[in-house]
Amino acid sequence: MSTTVPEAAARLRDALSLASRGLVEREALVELVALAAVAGEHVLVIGPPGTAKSEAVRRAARCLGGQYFEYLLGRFTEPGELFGPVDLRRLREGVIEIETAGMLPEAEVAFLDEVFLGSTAILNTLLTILNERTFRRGSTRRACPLRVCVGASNALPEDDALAPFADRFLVRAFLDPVADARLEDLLAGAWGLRTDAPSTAAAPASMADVDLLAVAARGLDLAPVRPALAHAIRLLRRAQVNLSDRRAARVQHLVAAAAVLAGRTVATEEDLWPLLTAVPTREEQATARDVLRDVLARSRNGALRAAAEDASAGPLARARRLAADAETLLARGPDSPPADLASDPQVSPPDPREGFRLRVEGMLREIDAGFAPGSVPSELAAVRPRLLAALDTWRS
Amino acid sequence: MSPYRAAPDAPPADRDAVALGWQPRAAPRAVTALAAEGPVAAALRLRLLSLPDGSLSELRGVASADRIILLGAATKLPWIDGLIYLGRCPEAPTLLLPTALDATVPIGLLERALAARLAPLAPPFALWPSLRGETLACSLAEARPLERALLARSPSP
Repeated sequence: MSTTVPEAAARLRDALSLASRGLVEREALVELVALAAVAGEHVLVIGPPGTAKSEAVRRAARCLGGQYFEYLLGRFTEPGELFGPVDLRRLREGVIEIETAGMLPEAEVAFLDEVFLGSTAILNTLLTILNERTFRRGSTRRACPLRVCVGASNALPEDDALAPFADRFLVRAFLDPVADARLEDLLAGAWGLRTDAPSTAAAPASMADVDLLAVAARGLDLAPVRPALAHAIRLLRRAQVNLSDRRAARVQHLVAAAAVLAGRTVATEEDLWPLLTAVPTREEQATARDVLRDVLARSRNGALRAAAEDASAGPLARARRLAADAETLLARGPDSPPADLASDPQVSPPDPREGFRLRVEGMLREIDAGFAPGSVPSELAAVRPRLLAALDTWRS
Repeated sequence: MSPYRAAPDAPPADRDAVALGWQPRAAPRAVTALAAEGPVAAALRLRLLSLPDGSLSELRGVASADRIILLGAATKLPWIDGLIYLGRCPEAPTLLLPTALDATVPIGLLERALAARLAPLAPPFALWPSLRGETLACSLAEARPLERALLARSPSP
């Protein structure tokens, strides 16, 4: 049965929507992994431990439907743990060959946690896999079906020797712990992960869809959007944002993939937002959001909504989300204590008004820490006095 | 010796001096501390006195008659209206700056200039714009766990 590009894009969109269900503030990461898979690029995720990096990548891998390989690297990880053991029968014949079945060289989607801890031998072999999609070790030479590799680390490497390897990860995602205001969503989502049957996250998309979209992206006409892209890159360079020639050129892969996933046959200025994800450091991404605010204001993508919004709006997106959370909190008011606690005479139930006060104060702390007094976006500035009034009501 | 100094915001006699200003950041720093002055510091002192001992012991700080700087995990720091939240900068590890503001001068130079200007006070230093618009600096080297008795004894501004 032949599939059209719009059908494949629609399936991937549905799969992403399913994969993101229950995740809090990690929807954009799931979408970026899918974008990179279609673009043939790789993703580096930087964030502290326990920020659901691996869960988001696993969800993305399930949604893409490919052969998945995941490994936590350490200083003493042997190459065989990633690439497969030496074939002992062939070794008796004096030939070093690697048995790659089920290992990284045969993966279509890979997740390598603490990727910069790998030894020189591991990183050199990985570099060839990431660059050329080829595995070379001993006398073993084989093409790798890898569509996307996601590397993760707590921080960008300080060692300059690792810079060329890190540069192969075009897409950079920086994660923070979930904001105070969304802790209830995080807890509910985590509980859902525990109770949901794994089958509910089965993939409606497949690697064939990804490949079809990748071919369409490679064939896309980028000429209409190239002047706007060049203008945006000039703005970044003027603001001292470091974007190497290689990264600037490869951003086109991401722009084309974003256009195809949005259902467009020609890339437009609405597809420029992935440029921001190619900016290599967290601080430079913040500057780039500011510098490119006008250029990226038109960003739209029905399939990658969270990623496009994150990249394009920055502080505005944060303000919108905070304002929406504040409205929800104010509408909900103090929660009743859980029924099982309320009915237990041995346990004094938590005071719902105290819980409400803590949540309102947590939200106000996030607003005050996130925005300087003169630069609070209007919708957030409008809701802040109502939060203060809610606290006054609580006190009286 | 008071750990506080007002960083001069008007260029002093040195003609090469650069005035320090502040501008909003696109992405906030992670919260690791807070600063309060004047009536906000007085309200904060009352708020701290209302906290249980367990919560107080999770905070460290320095204080003068009308200013308080607290250090602690973001979720342990209290909120009252008018506080300025501070965070560390990776580019200048001895400085704590407002989470939502950037200094208008290169941060590495600012760190070195501040260490020289405030000597013999030891780093880390907190730096923030006061309610009156001047920039305040404070050494956090002597920050210590909060004690209820000490808070209750401290003079109200």
